[in-house]
Amino acid sequence: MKLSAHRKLTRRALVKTLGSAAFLLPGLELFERSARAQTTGKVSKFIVFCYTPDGVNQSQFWPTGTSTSFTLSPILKPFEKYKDKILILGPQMNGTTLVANTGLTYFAPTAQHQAPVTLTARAGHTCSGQFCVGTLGIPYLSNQLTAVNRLDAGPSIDQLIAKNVTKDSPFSSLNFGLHPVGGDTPSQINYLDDGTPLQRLSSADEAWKHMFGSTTTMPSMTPLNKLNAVTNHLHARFAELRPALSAADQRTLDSHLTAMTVYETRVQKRLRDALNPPPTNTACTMPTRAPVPTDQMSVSTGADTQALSPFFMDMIATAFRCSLTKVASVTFGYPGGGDAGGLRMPWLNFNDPLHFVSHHGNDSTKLTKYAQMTTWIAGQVAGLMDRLAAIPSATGTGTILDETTIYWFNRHGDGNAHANFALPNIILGGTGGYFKMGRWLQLPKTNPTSVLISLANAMGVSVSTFGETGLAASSPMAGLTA
Amino acid sequence: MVSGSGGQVVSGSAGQVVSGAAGAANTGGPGTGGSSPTTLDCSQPRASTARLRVLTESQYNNSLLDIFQISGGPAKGLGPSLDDVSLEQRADIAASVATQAVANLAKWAPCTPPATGSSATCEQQIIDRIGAKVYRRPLSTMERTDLKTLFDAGIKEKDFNTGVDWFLTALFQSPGFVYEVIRPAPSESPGEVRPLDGYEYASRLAYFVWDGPPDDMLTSAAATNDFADATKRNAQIARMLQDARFSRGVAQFYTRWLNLNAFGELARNATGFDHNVVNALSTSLLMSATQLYSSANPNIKDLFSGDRYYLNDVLRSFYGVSGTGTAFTAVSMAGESRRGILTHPAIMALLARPDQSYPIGRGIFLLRNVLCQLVRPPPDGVTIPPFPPVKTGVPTREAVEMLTAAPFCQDCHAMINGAGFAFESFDEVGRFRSTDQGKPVNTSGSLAIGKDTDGSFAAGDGLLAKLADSKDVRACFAEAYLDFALSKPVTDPADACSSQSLGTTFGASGDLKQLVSSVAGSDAFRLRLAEGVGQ
Repeated sequence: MKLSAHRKLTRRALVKTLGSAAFLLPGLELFERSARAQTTGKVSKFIVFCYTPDGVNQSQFWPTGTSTSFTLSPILKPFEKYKDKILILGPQMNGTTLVANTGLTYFAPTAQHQAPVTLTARAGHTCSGQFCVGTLGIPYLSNQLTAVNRLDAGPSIDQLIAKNVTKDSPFSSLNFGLHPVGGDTPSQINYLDDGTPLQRLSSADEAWKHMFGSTTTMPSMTPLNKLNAVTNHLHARFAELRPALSAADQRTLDSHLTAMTVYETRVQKRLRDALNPPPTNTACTMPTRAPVPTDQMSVSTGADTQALSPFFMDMIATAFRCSLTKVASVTFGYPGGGDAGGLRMPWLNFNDPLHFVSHHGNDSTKLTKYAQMTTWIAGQVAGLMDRLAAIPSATGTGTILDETTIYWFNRHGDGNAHANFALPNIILGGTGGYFKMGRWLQLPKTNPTSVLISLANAMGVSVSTFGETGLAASSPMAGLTA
Repeated sequence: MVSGSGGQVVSGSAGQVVSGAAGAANTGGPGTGGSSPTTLDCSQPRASTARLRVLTESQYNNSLLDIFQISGGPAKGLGPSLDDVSLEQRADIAASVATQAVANLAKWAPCTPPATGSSATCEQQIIDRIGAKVYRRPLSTMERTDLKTLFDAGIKEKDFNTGVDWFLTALFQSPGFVYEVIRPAPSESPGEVRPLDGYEYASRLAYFVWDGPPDDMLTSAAATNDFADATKRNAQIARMLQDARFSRGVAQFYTRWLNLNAFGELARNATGFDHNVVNALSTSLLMSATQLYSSANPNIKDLFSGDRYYLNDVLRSFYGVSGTGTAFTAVSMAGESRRGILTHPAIMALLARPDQSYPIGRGIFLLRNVLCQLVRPPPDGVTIPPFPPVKTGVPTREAVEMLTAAPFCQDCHAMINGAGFAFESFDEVGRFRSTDQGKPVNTSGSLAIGKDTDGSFAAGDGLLAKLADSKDVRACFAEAYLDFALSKPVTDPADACSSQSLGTTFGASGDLKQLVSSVAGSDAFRLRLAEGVGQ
């Protein structure tokens, strides 16, 4: 959708157009104030994590030139107008050939393909074939559409940041996934403290409902009364059952109850606001809901991604504009997958999944497709930047893009070899002035976990060490800050 | 276990030795593992602990169907993860299902709801009868009291139907429905082996055999704990196998065993291979399994033999088989070296790359899922040679042989390729072929993994023919069924005793229905290792 399609929403208009759900948006000035109070100095206010699996076509990814005067590669061309807002964390180059085992490199063995390591710096569970067994003893199928990988402990860096910057935001974080689950390895990137993976919003309906509520009727006490009655009942059931269980099952129930409380609090507030709308925040506009195809053909071929991805970017822009959250993530497909499905882009005139072309074997056709797919993803990330650049900052100076840090990251360097070096990771945005942008770094072998610490620091979150033995870092990456 | 991911693999169908696979599958190095044999003591009844298990999406949906006659699978996209996003999704589903149930109150309510006002009698009947059905056990006093409070609050809010709506919305989100709950007995000592109680067993049994909740007869049997009596228990199981709901449980087992969860997204480059073909293949494949079980004494031999498949007009057209009509009917695909379910076009298409067959994937599948052979992924950090793209004049087999020629690769690929090449007669969409890239297809090979399927074969059919009578295949299949029944891998030596016993019995008979009965009657399924309250 185009940003010009936004409508200014007044309280009255909201009631007319969307009913009670729309009252979520107004009145978020409060959150703005508390957020501003927490930030001093050069700190990024928002952060977005964009994950791509299966590496990139390394031969067409890296720039040429010098650290501060460089020409972007064809894949990175979508960022041309944001060259002053890009920080490329590249490997060392020998001419146009990258030097093996340089750049961001996993220091310890980590399972191939697996996404969880990217933001947790943890190797994750042993789990292959049909079954995995989670920490809490709940077994699950690794190859289910609902595949879940519970790490022994968390959290992922995005959730650690979220926990510290959420304050009064309705959502601790908003996590979106394009065809997020499938394949043969865990695909989650967002994990809570106890290792619980977060379910991503993977359809337009689900995302819209989650963010703006689902009711279209006039505000009434009934939904809130029902929620409270049901909630009271459920809490009583948990309280009754828990003491009768084994210690392991008690932990499972505790985790369930914690998540339930988060959900209830959020929905209670949504319903209360519907009844007693807080003062309207006139700066906050709802996006026009862009159409996303949901027919079986579009979903099964992956054609829906072409509309769903921009839709998710709209949702993130709206969330930041209206202070619904400060932390978001988007995942593009899932890693590995045996080539049954995964991220596909039929509008590029081929049906191959990303994983399939990532095992290119130096075949020129596959390498071209590989680059085309990553270029499209780069365009999506740049599209998010466009959206954020169009929103004035609440401070009155600059735009939300100036206050945002985007981390576009990958599990592998070259997908063909499942390479653990030269990860094609890039920091984008104004980052609140925290990072010194407009640079292409050629790094020696560097622990990607140190970047995660840098990102937390950029958000004003102090982290001294992060990750598990072998993958851990105890300081931010040197040379990144302004 | 089926996946061979580091669990206990019973070596031999009747032996007492368990080869403990060393290390974890996705962190280990190359090789097939299997060392340090340990003795398995099965002299006493043994079972592992029973923990909370989240009902699957299909079990949730079948519960709605059986109790409320709500069809269409309203619980869509439910995962086992219970974070705040998925709980909101579950809450929305609960509310939506409650609305549907209220609209069809007459279909499922145990009483006639009052036209106006409220009826304390009907309210209490709904609470007691429906509450017990959804929880698969009688309600506690506290539950009855609290549910009545909730129901009353809904009535007070608006009317009787609102009371029903609130009651159901809570019921579907309660731990008593969401989880299969097995409670420690207050007096139990950790470490002792105890039977599940009647209701717990009835629930586990119903969700295993029917993929749905217990019916009234199972619940009655639970009340008097008939399941402690083997004769009465077997009579119930025999009844369940005759019931139409059994096909749901069968379909779920095959969905899991054959890794079909992502089948709907299958994409191949071949012209005409569209979602209509994919949908039809999925139906056809599951029919191969469920129709087999509709016979009186289905045998595993039938599963791994025969060239008849259920095809409709879409599939007949795509695979060039003659016939008329839009219905799925059993059609012979003679002369194509097909042998049962493994060479079903759906399986061959699933185990393929977008533009060519995938002997490596097919080999790994046969080894892991059919032979319970441990196959580790390549060790991390190893540079995998470029995968060969399709090259004119170079058959896929030749390309794979060149790719995996290095001795280091052959540590595993000797067996992987040996198994996978047997399927080279089938292309990436499961069509039969006699040539690949202009050369005659070569399906010969050999297998040497210490099982009764070992040996050389001049054509792939030689290997496939062995599967139907292999005792090792049967032991593996029995283990897969126990995995499925327990919803967890048989990694605990305590469960391996049952697995071994099932393998022996099933190895001799090959009777597929008997296997389901035997699993349901096994110690691993009926008993549990006590942990104690709070311990």
